[in-house]
Amino acid sequence: MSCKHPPEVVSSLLDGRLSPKEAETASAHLEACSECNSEYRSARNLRHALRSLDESPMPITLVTKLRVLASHERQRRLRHLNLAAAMRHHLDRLQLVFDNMMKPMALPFAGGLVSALLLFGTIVPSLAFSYKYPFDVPIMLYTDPDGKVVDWMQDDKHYYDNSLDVPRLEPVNSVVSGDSTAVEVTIDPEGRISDYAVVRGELTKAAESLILFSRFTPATLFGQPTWGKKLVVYRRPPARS
Amino acid sequence: MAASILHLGPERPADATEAEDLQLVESLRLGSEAAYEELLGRFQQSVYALAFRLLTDKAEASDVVQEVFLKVFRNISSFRAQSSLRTWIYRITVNEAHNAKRWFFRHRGREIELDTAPEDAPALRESISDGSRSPFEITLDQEQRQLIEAALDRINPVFREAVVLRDITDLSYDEIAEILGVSLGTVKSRILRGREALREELVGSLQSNRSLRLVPKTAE
Repeated sequence: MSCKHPPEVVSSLLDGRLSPKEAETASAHLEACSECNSEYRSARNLRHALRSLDESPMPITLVTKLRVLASHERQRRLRHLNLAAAMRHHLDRLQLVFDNMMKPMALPFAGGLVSALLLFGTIVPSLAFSYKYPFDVPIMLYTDPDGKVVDWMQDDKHYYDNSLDVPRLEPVNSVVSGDSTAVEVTIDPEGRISDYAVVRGELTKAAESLILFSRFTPATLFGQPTWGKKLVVYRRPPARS
Repeated sequence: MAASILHLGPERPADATEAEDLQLVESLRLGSEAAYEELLGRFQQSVYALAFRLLTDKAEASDVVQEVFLKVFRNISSFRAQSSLRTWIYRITVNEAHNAKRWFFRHRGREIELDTAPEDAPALRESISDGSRSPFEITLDQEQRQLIEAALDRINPVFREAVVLRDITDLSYDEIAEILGVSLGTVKSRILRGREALREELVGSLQSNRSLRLVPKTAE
């Protein structure tokens, strides 16, 4: 560079950092020296170009983030400033934690309750707990006389004395062994024996009194007492010694 | 008018008086909502512009701006009014940009951007026809801007900092010295060398791109 001016003079002149006297001298020199003048102009143009660079606008998301940040920081500062704000903040946090804990549970809980009610409501009635009613009337098509002696001849004590003579009531078509006495009896709706026939063996005294004095539960047809047949079997008493 | 060149918030000039600064700081300490609004309104755009010029990356600049304001809000109590609020905030910005740059070079290439920035999409105003400027002028301006930005990006970061603070953010030498924490002489020399470097870069890129330059000619 043939000019004796140091380069920072141009820069300082551009930035207005020269005293009025220095500036005057520099300006006078610029008019005279074409080299310095072009340097000054190019520096000025460059600065102008730099200043005319587009100001890139802030991203919208950043503006929002900054507002959120400011809001959080303000709350934080307020908490440090007074106790009431701090308490409120902690209460809010507690409430939030509680809500966040309960919200995920609320739906499963309600769903569980509803489905439990629904399931038990439909399943429980169909679970049959067998329970015998004492005076249940059979309502099937036909039942045999069940052979239960309802009314025993109370006076005749010898039945009880000799347990061997206690009769057994069996279905009519059952097979009877050889050494027994079997009497086929017809039981009327009242439970009394209306007819009898000795199927095997001989009619004993015990059998006779049974036929005469005892009463049975009758056979039923659609729940109504009706006629029925039964086989009364006695084991033959062993020979008395 | 210097204020028209500054990158300011719309509400208030950035070079507010010291008394106003102190009042704002006091309101911030007391947690006034309006004060937080005002601080953002006054500084968010200029801080973003500065961060963007220093880092030349939008995402990085956004992160830095958030860090800067977090620090400003947290440390407002330690602001002692030894410098202006603006200088103090710019100083934090420059430091954060340094840190970000260090981090960026260490982790470069590992990160994937998740935000597909909608602001990159053409804005409405760009699609509305503009009668005042011809497409040629717009293209020329755009090309010039790109060249300058590229040149700015290539020069030494130390010089770039000084040039950006002086020529784009339009701060005084004293303020720059305070922000960068260096002497006035260093600032002067960095600005000078930065400008020279920038001019050399521009001359170099213009020479290599000469064939691409559009030269208007009259129709024959």
